[in-house]
Amino acid sequence: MRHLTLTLLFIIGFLSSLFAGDPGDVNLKKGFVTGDPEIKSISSMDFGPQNLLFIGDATSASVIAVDMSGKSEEQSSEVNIKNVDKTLAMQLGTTVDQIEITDMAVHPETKQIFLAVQHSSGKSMLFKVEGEKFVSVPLDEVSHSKQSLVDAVAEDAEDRRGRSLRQWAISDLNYENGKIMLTGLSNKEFGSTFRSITFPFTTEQAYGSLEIYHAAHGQYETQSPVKTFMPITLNDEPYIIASYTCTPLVVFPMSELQNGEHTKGRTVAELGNWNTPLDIIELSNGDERFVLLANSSRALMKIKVKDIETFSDYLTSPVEERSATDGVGFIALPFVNVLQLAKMSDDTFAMLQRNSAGELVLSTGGNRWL
Amino acid sequence: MFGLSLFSQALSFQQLSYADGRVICNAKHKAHDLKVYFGNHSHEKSASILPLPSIEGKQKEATFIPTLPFSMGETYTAVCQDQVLVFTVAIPSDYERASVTAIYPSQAILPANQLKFYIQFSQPMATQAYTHIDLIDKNGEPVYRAILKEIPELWSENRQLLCVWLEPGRIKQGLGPNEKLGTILKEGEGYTLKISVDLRDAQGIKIKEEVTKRFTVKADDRAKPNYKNWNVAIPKSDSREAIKISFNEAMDYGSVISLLNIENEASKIIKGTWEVNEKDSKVYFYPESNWQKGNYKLAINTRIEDLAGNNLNRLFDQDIKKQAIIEEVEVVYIDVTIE
Repeated sequence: MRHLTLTLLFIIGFLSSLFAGDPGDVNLKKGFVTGDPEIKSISSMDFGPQNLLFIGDATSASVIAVDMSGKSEEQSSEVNIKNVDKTLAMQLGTTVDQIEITDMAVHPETKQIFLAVQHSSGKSMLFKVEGEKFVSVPLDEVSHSKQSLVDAVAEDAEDRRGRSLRQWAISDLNYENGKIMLTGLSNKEFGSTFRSITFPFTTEQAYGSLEIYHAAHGQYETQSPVKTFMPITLNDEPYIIASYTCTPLVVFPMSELQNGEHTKGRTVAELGNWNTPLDIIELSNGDERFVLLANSSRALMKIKVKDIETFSDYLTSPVEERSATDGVGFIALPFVNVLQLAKMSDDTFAMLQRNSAGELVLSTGGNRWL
Repeated sequence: MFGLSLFSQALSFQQLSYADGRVICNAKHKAHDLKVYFGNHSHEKSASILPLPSIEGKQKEATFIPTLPFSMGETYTAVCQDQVLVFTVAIPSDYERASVTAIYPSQAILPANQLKFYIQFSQPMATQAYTHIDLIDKNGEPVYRAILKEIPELWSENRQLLCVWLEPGRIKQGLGPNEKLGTILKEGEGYTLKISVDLRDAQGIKIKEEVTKRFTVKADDRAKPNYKNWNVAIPKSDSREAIKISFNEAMDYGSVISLLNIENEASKIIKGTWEVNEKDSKVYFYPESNWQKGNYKLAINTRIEDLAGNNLNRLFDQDIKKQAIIEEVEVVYIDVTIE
C-alpha cells in the first residue's frame, strides 16, 4: 500500500518546445569560443553528440558545453583498476580523504571513462582513463559555450550584497535531444528544482524550473530533493525517471510538463529504508531494456523497463489516484557500494565501487548481468 | 595568502630547491628531468620512485608548479635526474585556525521535526564536511542516520556557511524509516550537534576545536507560518534605521536571509542588508541609503520556511486527504509606509 504522487509546479513558464526533436545534423558547436570557461566545479557531467561534454558547475551556477574533439582516444571496454582514489590523490599530491570523485561519464564513441575529481580546497579537475592510468584533461583552454543558471529574477535583484549565502548544488545532469536537463537543491527550501535548457544555448534564459512533490501512502504530500534522474521512453512516450534522497523511484511524463499545470506522477518502487539511490542508467540486452540503479546502502539494482511500463495504467493518466502495492520488482546484482555508475554501450556499464577490502575499484560489467 | 616555508631540506644539492610553492631544478635541466612525488621517498633510489605517479602540475623548463598547491603539513619528494630533495610545507606558527562562529537555529529548544542546521565558519572551508558532523543522543551515542550525508554539500559561495539536513525519511510521516524507527528527535530529550575537530579549512588545516550545540526537543511544529501575524516595526524617514520584522516563531535562517525583499512603490528592490536576530525570530533590514517618505512593501517569497520546513503555502508533511489543494501564490506582501 504505498504509492507516491509527483506534482510538478512550474515556477517559471516552461518552454513549450521543451522536448524538441533530435537536432540531427545541426552543428551544435556553432558560436563556440576558445578560451577558459572558468569552470569552478564539476558537479555533474554527461556526454552528448558531436564530442560534446556538458558540465554542470554549481559553484559558478552555470552549464558549460565543452568540445572534446581530439581529447579522447579509443579504449578497451574492459577496465579493472584498483585504488582509484589513492592513485589520484598521490598523483595530485594530496591525501585520499581530501579528494572526492564527483561524477563519472563515458565518451559514447571512444568508450573512454572520464572522472571529475574535486579537492577539498574546492578545485575541480577532469581525468580520463588511459589503460591503467589517469590522465588529466585541462579545461582552461577549450572550445566551449557557457550558460548561466542564475535565475533572471535573482540576477536582476541588485541587492546581491549580503546575500552570498545562496547555497545551491547540482545533483544530476543529462543531455538529450537538444536539451540539457538538470536537478538541483538549495538551502533556502527543502525540495528540488528541475531545469531544462535548450542547447545550443540561446540568448534568452531558455529554461524552466519546477518543484517536485511526493506523497507517501497517498496521504502526505511533501517535497524532496532529486538525487539522480534520466530521460526514459515508456510505452513510446518520453518520461523522466527520478530517484529521491529518501527512498522512492518516480516517473513523470514529459508531455505533462508542457501544460504548465500541476502534474501528478507516481512512484514505481520504494527501494528500501535508509537507502539513497546514487546513479541511474538504462541498458538493453537484445529487445529487453533495463534500468540499473546504484544505491548508498543496497546492492546494484536491475529493474525491467517492461515492468515499469506495465506497472499500471496511471502512467498515462497521472492525475488518477491509485493504490499500488510494493511497486516494481527489482533484482539485486552482486555489486554493493557502487558509488558511480555510467553507461558504456547499450549492454555494458562502468562502475566505481568500494570493495570489501575498502579499495575503490573502477571496473566494467557486461550483458552477463542483464 | 599564507607564506609557505621550507621545513626541511634533506638530501639536497644546491641545484634543486623548493620555495614559494614551486620546485626549481638547475636551469640546464629540461622539464622532463624534474619530477615531484607525494610523500617522503628519500630512502628510495630515484629510479625506484618512478613507478609512482608524479604530482600533476605545470612544468616550464626546470620549474614545477603543482596543480593543487603543495599542502601545509605534507611532505614531498622532488627528483631531478640524480638529485633528490625532500621537503615539508610548514604550517606558519601564526596560522589562524578556522572556528565556528555561529550555528543556526540559535535556539536551544527545537521542534521534534526540526529539518536543517546552518554552521557559520570564520574562513573558507574544505569540502567533504558532512562526514565530520554528527548528532549525538543523551547517552553520548551518535544517532543512526540522523544527518543526510549523501547529497552534494550545501556550501555558500564563499564556503563559510554550511547547510546540514536531517534525514528527511525519518521526519516525513508515512515513509518507511519514519514508521519503523520514528522521528530522529524525541520530544523532551536532549541532543548535541557535534562538529568534529577533523573538519578542515580550505588550506587543509583542521579547525581549532570540536564544537557542539546542545538543544532539547519540544513537540512537532505542524503549523504553517502565518505572515499575517508578523509584526513590522517601521523606521522614520531620513534615517537608516532598520525595518524590524518579528516572526511569531523562529524561522529557517537560510530561507529568511534569501527570500525577503523590501520594494518601493515601483516594485524596485531597495538595497540594503538583512540581519537575523533574537534567536532567528526577528530579521532587521538596514537600507543602504536613508529612507524616503512613501509606500514600501515587504515582499515575502512564500517558500520561506520555519524550522520544520513548513512554508507559507504548505506543510512539510501535507495531509492531502485533509487539505484541499490551494492555489499557491509565489509572493505575498506586507505594506510598509514610512512617514
